[in-house]
Amino acid sequence: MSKDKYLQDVLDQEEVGDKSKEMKALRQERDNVEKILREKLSSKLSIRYGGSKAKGTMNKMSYDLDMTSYIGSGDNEVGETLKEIFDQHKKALSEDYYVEPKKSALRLKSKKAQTDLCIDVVPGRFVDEKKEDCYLYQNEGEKQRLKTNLSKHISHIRDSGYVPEIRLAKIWKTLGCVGAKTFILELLVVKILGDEKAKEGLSENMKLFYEKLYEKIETIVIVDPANPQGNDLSNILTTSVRLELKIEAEIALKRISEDRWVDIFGRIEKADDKTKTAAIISAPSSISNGAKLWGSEKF
Amino acid sequence: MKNWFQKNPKLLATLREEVEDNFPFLRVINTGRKVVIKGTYELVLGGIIVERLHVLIVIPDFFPREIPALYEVGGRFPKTAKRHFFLSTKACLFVEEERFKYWQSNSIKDFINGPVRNFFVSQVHYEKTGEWPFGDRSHDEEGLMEFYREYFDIHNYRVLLRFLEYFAAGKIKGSHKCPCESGRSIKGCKHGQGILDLNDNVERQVFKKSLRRLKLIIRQDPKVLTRVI
Repeated sequence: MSKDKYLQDVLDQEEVGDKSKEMKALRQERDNVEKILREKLSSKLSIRYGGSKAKGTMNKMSYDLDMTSYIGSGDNEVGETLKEIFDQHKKALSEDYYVEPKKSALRLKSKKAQTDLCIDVVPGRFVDEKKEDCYLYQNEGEKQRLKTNLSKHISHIRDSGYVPEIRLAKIWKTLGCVGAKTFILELLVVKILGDEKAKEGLSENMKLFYEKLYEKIETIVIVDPANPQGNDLSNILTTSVRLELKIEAEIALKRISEDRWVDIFGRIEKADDKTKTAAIISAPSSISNGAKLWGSEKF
Repeated sequence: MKNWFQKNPKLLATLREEVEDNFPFLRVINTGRKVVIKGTYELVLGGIIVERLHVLIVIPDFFPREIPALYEVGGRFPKTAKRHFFLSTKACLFVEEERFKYWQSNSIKDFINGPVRNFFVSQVHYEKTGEWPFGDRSHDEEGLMEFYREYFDIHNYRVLLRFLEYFAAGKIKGSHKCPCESGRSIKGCKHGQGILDLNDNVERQVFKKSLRRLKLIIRQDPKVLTRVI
C-alpha cells in the first residue's frame, strides 16, 4: 500500500460523519445544552459550533464539540462582566452536568456516568453590533480578557488548503499525547506548509512538516489570526512546548526514515463494532492470570 | 537523597528501551524528580485494536520493589470504587500483597502487558457483560480481608491485625508464636509455610501500608475488630 493511500485510509477511518453515532450523540447533547442556556440565561444568546466541527478537522479518536455562547455587546441579561457571564453559564449548566472550568471554556461531563461528554461551552460577549469580534473571559494567566473572532479562526484553518495535514497532525498529537495545544498545532501546520508552499501528496507534506518543525520550532513565530497584534501566543507556545515538539518531530522523522508510518498515525482497523465486541467477550479465556480487581472509597 | 533512576541509571535506560521498543505511543518522561510514562495505550484483543486509552504510569520511588501507579487520564472510565479505582483515581490492579501472582519480573514491559492490559480487558469486558472476567474483590478493608482469608484461612479482623503487625515488624522466625493465636510456633503451625512464602514475596512496605489502612478503619469503627467473615 502506498504511503499516501495509507494516510488517506487513516483519515477516512477517523472521519466523523454527520450521520455517525458520535455526531448524533454530540448533536443531541448540544441541543440539550442550548435549551438549558436559552431557558435559564437568555433567548438572545448566539450559540454556534466552533472548533474542529466548523473547521472540518474533527477526528474520531479525539473529538470534542466547541459551542460558543455569546451575548450582545450592550446586553447585561447574563451578567455585566465577562466573569459574571462565565459564572452564570457555569451555574446554569451545573444542575444537569458536572462542569469543569477551563481557561475560557466550560467542559461538560455526565453526572450520571461520570464520563467526559467532549463538549466545551465557550461563553463570551460580542465587542460591538457587528457581532464578529468577541471578548472571552480568561480565568488563568495575567490577562482576564481575550479578544477573538470565531469566523476568522475557522476560515484560517478551513480555507488553508491543509485540512488533511492538520487532521493527521492532530492524530499524531493524540496518539503520542504531544503536549502542544491543538490550536497551536493547527497554526503551525498552516504556517509551515504555507511558507513552504507545500503542494505534494500527504506523505511528502507530512515529512516536510516534521522536517521544518524540527528545524524551525525553536524560533518560529506564529500569530493568532483573530487578533494578531493583541493576542500573544508565547504563553501557549512556551520554551518547553517548543522543546517537546522538537523531540517528537525527531522521533517522527526517524520513524518515517524506517517506513514506520503506523507508529506515528496508528493502524488501519477494519473490524466493525460486532467483531470488536466478540473479541472483548472472548479475550479473558486466553488470559491465565488475570487479577481480581480491588478498589476503595476510603483509601 | 537519590531517586531510583539516579542510583541506577541502567534501570532507567532499560525501562526506556522496553517502552520505546514495544509501545510506540508511550513516552518515558524524566522530570528530574519523577519518571512517568504517558501516552496512548492500544488495547489489542484477537489482533484487533478495541480501545485506545490515554494513560499515565507513575514510576514509584522504590521501583521496581514498589508497583507503578496506573491512571487512565482520558475520561474513558468512571473513577469509582465500583469500577476498581482508588479515591486518588489510581487504578486498583490488585491487592498489593498479590503482586507475586501477577507481576513477578521487574520488567515494565511485563507490567504493561500483564496487569495494565488485564485491568483494561476487565473494564471493557465488564461494560459489555456486566461481569468482571477474573472476579473482583470487595471494596476497602473487606477486599484486603478476602485475600488474607483465602491465603491463611483467617476469618476475623482482630487476627488480620495481628498478622499485619507481625509482617510489618519485619522479623520472621520459626520460633515466634504464630499471629493466628493458636499458641503454636510458626514452625509448628499450619500457617508457617504461608507466612514464610508471603514474607519472601511481598515488600515490607506493602504490609505496613495495609496495616495503616486497617488501623484507619478500626479508628473510625472499632467494632470492625469483632467482625467475622
